[in-house]
Amino acid sequence: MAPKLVEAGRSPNIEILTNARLEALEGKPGNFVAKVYQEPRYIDEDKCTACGTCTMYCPVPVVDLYNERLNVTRAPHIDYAQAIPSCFYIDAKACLRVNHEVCNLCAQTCIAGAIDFTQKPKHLELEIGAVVLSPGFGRISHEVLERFGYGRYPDVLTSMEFERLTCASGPSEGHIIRLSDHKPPKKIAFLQCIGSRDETCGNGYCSSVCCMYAFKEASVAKEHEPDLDIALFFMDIRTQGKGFDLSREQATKKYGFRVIRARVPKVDQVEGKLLLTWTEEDGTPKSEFFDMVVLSIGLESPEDAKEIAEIAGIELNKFNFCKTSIASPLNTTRDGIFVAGAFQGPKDIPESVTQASGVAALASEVLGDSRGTKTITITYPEENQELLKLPPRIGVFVCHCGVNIAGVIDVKSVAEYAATLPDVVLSETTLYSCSQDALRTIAEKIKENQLNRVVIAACSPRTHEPLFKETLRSIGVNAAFIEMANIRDQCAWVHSKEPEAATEKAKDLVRMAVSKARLLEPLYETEVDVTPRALVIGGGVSGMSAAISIADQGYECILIEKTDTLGGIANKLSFTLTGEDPKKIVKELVNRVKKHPKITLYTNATLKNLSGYIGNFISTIDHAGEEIQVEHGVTIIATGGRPYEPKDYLYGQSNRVITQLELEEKLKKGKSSLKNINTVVMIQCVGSRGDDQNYCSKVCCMQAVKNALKLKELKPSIKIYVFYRDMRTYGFSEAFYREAREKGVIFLRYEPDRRPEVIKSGRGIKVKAFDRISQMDIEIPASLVVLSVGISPSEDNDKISKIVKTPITQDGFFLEAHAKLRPVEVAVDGVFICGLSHGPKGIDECIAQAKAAASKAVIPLSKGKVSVEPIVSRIDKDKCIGCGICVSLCPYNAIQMVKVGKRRKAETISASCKGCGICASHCPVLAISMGGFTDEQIFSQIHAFAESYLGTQQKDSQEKKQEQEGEQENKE
Amino acid sequence: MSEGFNPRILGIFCNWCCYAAADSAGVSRYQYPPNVRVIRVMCTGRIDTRFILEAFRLQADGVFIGGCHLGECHYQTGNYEALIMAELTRQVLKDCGVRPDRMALEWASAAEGPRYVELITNYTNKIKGYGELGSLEDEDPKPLIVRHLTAAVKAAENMKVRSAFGNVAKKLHKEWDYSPDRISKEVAEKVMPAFRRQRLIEETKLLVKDKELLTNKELIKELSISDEEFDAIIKALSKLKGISIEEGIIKLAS
Amino acid sequence: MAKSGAVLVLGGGVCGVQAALDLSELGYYVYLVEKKASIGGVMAQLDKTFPTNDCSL
Repeated sequence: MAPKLVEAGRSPNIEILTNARLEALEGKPGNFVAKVYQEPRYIDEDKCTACGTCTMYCPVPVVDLYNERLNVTRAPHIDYAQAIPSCFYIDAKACLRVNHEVCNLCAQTCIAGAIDFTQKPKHLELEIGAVVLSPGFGRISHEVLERFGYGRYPDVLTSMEFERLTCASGPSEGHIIRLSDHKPPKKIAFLQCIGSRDETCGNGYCSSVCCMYAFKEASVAKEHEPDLDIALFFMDIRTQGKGFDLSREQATKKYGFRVIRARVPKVDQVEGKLLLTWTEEDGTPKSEFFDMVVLSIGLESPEDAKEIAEIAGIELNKFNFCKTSIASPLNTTRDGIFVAGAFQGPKDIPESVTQASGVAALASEVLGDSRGTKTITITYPEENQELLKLPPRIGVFVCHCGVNIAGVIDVKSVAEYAATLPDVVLSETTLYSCSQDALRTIAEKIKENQLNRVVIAACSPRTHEPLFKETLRSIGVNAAFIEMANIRDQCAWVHSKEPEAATEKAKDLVRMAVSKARLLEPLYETEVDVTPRALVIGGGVSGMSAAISIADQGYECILIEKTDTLGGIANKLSFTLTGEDPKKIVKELVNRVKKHPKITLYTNATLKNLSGYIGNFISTIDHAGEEIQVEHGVTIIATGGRPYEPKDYLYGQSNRVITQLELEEKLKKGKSSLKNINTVVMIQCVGSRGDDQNYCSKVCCMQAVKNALKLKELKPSIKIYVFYRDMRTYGFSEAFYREAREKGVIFLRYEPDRRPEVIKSGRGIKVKAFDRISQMDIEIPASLVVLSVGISPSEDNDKISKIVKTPITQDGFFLEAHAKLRPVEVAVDGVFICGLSHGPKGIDECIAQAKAAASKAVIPLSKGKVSVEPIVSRIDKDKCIGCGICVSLCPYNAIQMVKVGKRRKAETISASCKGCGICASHCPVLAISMGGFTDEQIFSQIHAFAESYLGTQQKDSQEKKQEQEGEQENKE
Repeated sequence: MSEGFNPRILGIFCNWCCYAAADSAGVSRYQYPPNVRVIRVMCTGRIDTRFILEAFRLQADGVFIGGCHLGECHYQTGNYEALIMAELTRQVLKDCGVRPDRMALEWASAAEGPRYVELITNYTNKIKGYGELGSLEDEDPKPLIVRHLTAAVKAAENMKVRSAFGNVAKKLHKEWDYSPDRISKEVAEKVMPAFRRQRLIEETKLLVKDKELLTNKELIKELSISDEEFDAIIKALSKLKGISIEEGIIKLAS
Repeated sequence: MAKSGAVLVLGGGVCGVQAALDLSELGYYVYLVEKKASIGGVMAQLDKTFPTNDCSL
């Protein structure tokens, strides 16, 4: 996630207001005024260099909340090293200076002069067009945790505390230890559903993520300590997300977890050991000692949910989460105010990230025409061409970084040494290179001395190179003319006890940087025009939602649907759990698609071919036998899914065996459809979870509960049995599962090796199964057996995957670019996925994901251009022999073969290239060069590395190259 | 090895993981030996065998390649490609009389500062134990190693050798089989024969250039090669314009 | 009255940050309001993420 945080921190169009809260919100969509109250950090963000001296000198200890109170820090601190803003802050509640006007030690020791006790709280009035609520979730109350011994017994931990213990940067540096005696535990128990699925604390919902993270934490623990004995206590194992079920199964097998089906009511401590007592499924009481107990805490609504709701003028649901609907999962009850993430309902990271992108689309739909009116575009002067003509003139700036570098390394001698290196015309030290005035000074020196290469010996290029590049651009110097030597993070800080060796190393690093700087070439960010049109493949709920969002945001959209009807699999649904009418949802979408002036709809249409790249795709569409060519800038895949076709359980042989969808169709007719139907048996996971398909289809448990409740509503006397493996009614659906049980629906668990059987019995049928509670075989004569069939991927996915050149998973769904952080993007830039094409999910999740895809798709459309990072590969066509090795190894399909005369040559598609360099290191004829990382540059660094002990006699890379070329000629 | 030996270690780290881990070790002020000098590249997939061989040619005592954990590559597959590159490098080093594990390929994620410190400390200590390049029993003496490696760097530029390597990478990528045994087998069977042959040719050229003329016997002794290899080299050399071979004597063509 | 081209995002966890990034990319100015001293939320506290055990930060 760090890159996202850094990006947010650097964006000129994201103003991060920390220590801030919303106080009031007035106005209407398009024109709100928000009052925000912001408390001071007491440290100046522009001046703080994040050196940490203030923390070292402060006398006041405070608990480290980032480390879940397991550690201590001081009043001035930063939450964690990579935190954004990368500026320390003072905990005002603890600070002596703030509260008693004494101390001031931090201010005295801060060389940068960043500590500022004159800062005052701010009252801001912000004019905004829309609001996104993403306050996250709250913590389960202490009172609930106390029931499980938390607070009383030190070795009962929350899962968050355990998370910090396993983390290398955590309080125990990644060692799992007991807090009581600091010894490693041998036996750990994980207790699930702490504060979830628990009416007694008002949380009658499932927190959706705890089963997943418990397996993660247990796996991480086993990797740390392979001999650990880990038991996990579940009611149901709810790992329903994409790919999660299989991972859980593999982890369980690999690490030998003991999975116990029980809810442990309490934790006792007997002679220093933690005692768990529980009842097995068959009623046997059990107890066992453990060394450590981890409470898998659920997600509570945010502590300030009610306050937020009142200020924002929105409604909450009965669990104090934001109230939304299936048709509009990201809309609050107030127009122009949107919700995303856990506040909308407990959810995991990929779904939160998906919703985040989704709300961006919703805001963009509302604010469309005001796009770009408030954003800041930075303009740069033209590049000074004269500088390029000069031979390398290198300026070296060696940073003190206060005492961070200069306290260890003799920076003066490093600067003096640098002055002796070839092409160095200026070498100086600076106090803080990254401070605003130092940057101004550096800019002046560059101009004064006509420098055309700059070496900054300071901190890490990962964090600071963008800043120096910015400085170069601001004075008309190509941004590529900088090289950094990392003499702080990878030298002064890590060799602080060996100042001489550190100084020598710093000299070597500077020499290596200078040698590379001599060979730096200007690089130019190129831009590619974007065809402002989207193509959406698939006219189901997801495809229609995406198309409407794109069109509402102001861009043309072509929607193709392979059948003659819009709506896809949702057409088969008749009810939802919450009572919304799915037919109405579909009908509204269809109407909007058909009426929207910016949407062109082709039914009976399939994708035949797709060429080009982000911004410039050309597709061939087969429209009822006729071929159409369309140009578009982005592509959304929304190919949907289909119901799994059951192969067993007498399906197709007996008309008493039907699927849930078929039952829904029947129930539409009302009570009359249930004549002579007195006993209904439902069987879950038909086709799912290793039956025939490897994954969990996510929706079938809800569907079964929904139809069971409908049956009970229509005919209360009906008997319903549900055979299940784990009831996965995650989130707020849990309440309906409870309702079903309260209404007398009987849920019976089965193991995959003892599936229920449907057998013919005279003219009727019965279900034979093993009852785990009585440990006996039972037979239930059924008037109807309803199979909860899973969702299968669209049969078109394979074909479309080949056309678009983006991979599908083993299960046949499209593979996202990153499971957590880029859930709607794929390997090919400019192509996005949503809905069932990505994996099984409910309608509301499909709609949210469709909005997310629309948001991502509109980004290049609205920019009108795609800019290409200059570190891409360049292929010398004269050298290229057309072998195609680079094409087959490129992870991004960013190299294509083109015809030059009669020969095949490789060519980089710059817009798709990410600059990894796999092609360059595998080219048989060394025809590929990487911007900023050429062979010559890397060799020059290696040579400079060796110079420290070999001296300068060795040949420099230029000479060597000429010699090679001479020899090449000798060969045949 | 003596206490005073300070190995010269080159690091080549990927920007996203190992380099970030090294930064994060700094932020936490973990201490480790000051022997490594780091070159930053975007991905371990960028690293060419030539870079590593060149560093050893220039008498580096160790080369440490650091990337992302498998499956976590910022560019999806770069570190898998690096596995093959590293295996080739190890086999070439062995062929050139260098202990292959003077080169290390390790993974550390951005958050694993402590792991990085552990890796680099252990590695530095290992190389300290090994002593200077060419000082181990199973290693050739340094001047000989440098000659082998000079030839090996040139061989690594050869089109046929590189094609063989590229094709192995392509094949394993297609089959998505990166098991160590498979990589080792493919590299040994499909790349090494061409590599070694080319290295010997290059080394012969170096010898001829150095000594002006060379008898067949001397060549066989200098390179410690089999008769079969000798025949192959002579055959290849006879095609080169710059070298003449007459009556058991190899010399520069006039 | 013309609509404002700015959006307020309340909460700077992974969700709020992602929304802010997408909104800014879509051409809107974003005020990212976070009650703590740094953005990143709970995800920044996690060591690894399920199921790939990728580094969370």
